[in-house]
Amino acid sequence: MSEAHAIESELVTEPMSWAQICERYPDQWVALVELDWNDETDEFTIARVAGHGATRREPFAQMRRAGLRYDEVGHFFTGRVRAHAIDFVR
Amino acid sequence: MKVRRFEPDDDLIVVKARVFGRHGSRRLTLALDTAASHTHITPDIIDELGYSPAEGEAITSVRSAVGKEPGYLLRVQRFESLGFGCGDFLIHIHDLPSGFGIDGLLGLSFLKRFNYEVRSTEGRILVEPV
Repeated sequence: MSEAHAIESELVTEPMSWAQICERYPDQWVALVELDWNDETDEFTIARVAGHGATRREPFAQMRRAGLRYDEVGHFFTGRVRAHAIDFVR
Repeated sequence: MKVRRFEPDDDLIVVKARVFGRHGSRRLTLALDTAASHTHITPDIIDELGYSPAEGEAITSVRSAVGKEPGYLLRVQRFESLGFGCGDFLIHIHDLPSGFGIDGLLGLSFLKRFNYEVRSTEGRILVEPV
């Protein structure tokens, strides 16, 4: 394993399922990389977590601080979506 | 015809989307909203992709519970959702509190390109291009 790869491995998690991600980072925003994405279902089987936090911006901020750059990043919330979100465009 | 699943017990119809920019793409979560004229995405996602408000085509304001809030219209390289995509897609960029759990709304500006059927009790959306 190269030194660069070893450093990156410490900054992102091992590949995990969505259920595992939700269990480890409950009610948080997560930035997912190396997603094994299924375009037919719009779901992924496994991904690695490169950032997480309570706010929408925090996962991206963590990635920037760590110098992580990926072409494709998934940005998702592990908690339940609230219905009153819809009020903001009324 | 494409079929997408959503959780029928959720308060909203939540779907996945993908937005492309100079720095790659971001996969995100939107609430399907047939009462929203535009497709809305929060600025943090757009900023990460290398876009700037200076590229906006128009300044907008959105009425919310706390008054009018500023936003802007931006044309993104490509936008995908529900199994379909389109280039040069105009999106309304507007902030949204983090606690809601979505990155924006999938509105009529995208949905009107398709015939779609929301089967609420089954948790399925059937989509076909017009």
